[in-house]
Amino acid sequence: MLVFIFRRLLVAISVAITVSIISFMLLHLSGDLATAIAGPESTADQVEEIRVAFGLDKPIIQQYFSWLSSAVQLDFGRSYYFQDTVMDLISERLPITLTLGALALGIATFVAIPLGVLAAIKQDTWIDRLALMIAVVGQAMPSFWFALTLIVVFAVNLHWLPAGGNSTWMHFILPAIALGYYAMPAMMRLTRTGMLEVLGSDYIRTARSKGLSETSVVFKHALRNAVIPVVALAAVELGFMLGGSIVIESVFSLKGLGQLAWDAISRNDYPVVQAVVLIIAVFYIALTFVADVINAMLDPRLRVR
Amino acid sequence: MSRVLEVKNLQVDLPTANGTLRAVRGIDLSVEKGEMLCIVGESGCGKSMTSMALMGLLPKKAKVSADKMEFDGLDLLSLSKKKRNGVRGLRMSMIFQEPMTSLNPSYTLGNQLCEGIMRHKGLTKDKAEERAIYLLERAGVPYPEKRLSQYPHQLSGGLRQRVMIAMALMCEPDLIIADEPTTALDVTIQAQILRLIRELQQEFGTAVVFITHDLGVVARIADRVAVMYAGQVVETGLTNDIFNNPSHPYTQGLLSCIPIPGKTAPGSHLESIPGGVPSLIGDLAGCAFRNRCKHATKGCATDTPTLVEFTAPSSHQVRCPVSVESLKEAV
Repeated sequence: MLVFIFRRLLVAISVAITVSIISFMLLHLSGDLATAIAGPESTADQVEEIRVAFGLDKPIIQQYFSWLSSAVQLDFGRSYYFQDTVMDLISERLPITLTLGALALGIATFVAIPLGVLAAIKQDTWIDRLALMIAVVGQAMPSFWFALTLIVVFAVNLHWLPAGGNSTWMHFILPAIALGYYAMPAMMRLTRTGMLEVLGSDYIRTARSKGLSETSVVFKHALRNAVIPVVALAAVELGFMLGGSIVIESVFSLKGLGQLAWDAISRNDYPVVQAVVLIIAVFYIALTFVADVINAMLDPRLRVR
Repeated sequence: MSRVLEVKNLQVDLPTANGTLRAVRGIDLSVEKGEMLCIVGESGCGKSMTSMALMGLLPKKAKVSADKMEFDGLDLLSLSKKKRNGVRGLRMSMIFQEPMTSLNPSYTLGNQLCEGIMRHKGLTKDKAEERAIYLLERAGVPYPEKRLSQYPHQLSGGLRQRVMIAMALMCEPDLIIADEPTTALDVTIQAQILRLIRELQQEFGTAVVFITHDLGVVARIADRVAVMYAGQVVETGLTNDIFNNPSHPYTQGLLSCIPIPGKTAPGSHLESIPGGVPSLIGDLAGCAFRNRCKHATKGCATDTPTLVEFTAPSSHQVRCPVSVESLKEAV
């Protein structure tokens, strides 16, 4: 198991390095940085001055390593647009997005797995159909619309929960439900398919032949094997929510990472874009690593690879 | 000898898109305590369906009916789901055809060996493991202590089948149903596993219903044989009677398909039964075997034969009026 974790870690690190190179190149592919920083009304001399001041005259490899060494120290430079360092911006936004993502994934998992299991056990009954309907609605309904509906019902009419902002944990409930409902259908259907496949397998027949209780057959013997692809999917979905929750963040006026990325992209704020891309990528890699480790804990056959 | 299992007129129907598949069409079986009954037949004759019906492991959509299905005095048909679960694993257990996929890949062998007995007999983990180690050793698994913490993928197919056998014996059942337990194994391993099942069966006095398509296997281990064709038993009797005096044309055909060392000349033509098994969807009029039978008469197409006990060797029954007539004449 330790060997497995170590190997996966090596893979994760090499991917992270590749991503850092791509993220670094992103900045340089966007045109001459010195000109961009100096602004449209600067002279050639000023541009040269900036080029030297920012180290942009040095060879690109050297630039990469100096950028990387500050990046690992979490120093991404200053934002062009906001009056802050990039790190300040991110440390302000990231916790909001992380809270939202984790809550949404929690809600999605909490609904998707039991519902998927139930749909599989009750295959072709009205329960199965209902689960399918819930999933299809979740997949088909635009998330902003569902978010607005939630606001109208629970914030405007019932006054149970706040409509926007991020000052208390109450503020996260509606956006997490909206985001979670978006992530839930795929997990639910994967759980259902996985359960159906596993429940038809020979070792489930063996478990039944031992006279085990239905609970033991379904939850001990079947679910553990059926949930393996769902873990990988959950990791990807959480990664996606970290970078892609922009719609939900805008509707609920949560100032998260998605909003920051949007603002930075629309204002050519490259240091911020670069840092956001890198951080989201690193989270993705970390999540994939965690999913791999969880799966190896669930299925011993995966540990050998 | 007391009777462990008695089944009368067992029927299994499976609804399919093309109509009802009548997989088992009225089977009578009885198994004495400590006896080895072999059910023989080719693929699709309903022998696996019979074993699943006995264990109560058929899919929900399958309809099982019988005039009688008694296990040691317990009426299996009227037993509640919960009580049936209490019998299954504790008093009757099963060994399956596919050792490679019959064990859960995610749990250790120890866990899978012990969970049944811990549930049924309330044993502690230590006591259960003690028994598991003892049975693994009896089943010829080397380093039994070490196996408890191993996973199925770390074992070969032959070893996994030995583990399955040990697992079936955990609760000292009265009846084990073995559904082609050697079919998926190498020939050398097959012989070992057969010998093992026979030895353990005699040692523990367990009754075994052994399902196979291989008459060679039957000759080696069976006390009694039931030959199945198209969802029915066509001939049943003591192993010696069946092999020395095969009376149903199907049994005769099966036996003539086996090369006998010393008798069958190398390179000589080996018999085969022409044709294939009829479709089991809907009703069958007349004898199901008549299209492949050398002795078929006009009557075979219209009169559905019944199982007849025909001569002195007790309990030798055959489902073929033509054979019964000729046998009576011979006597």
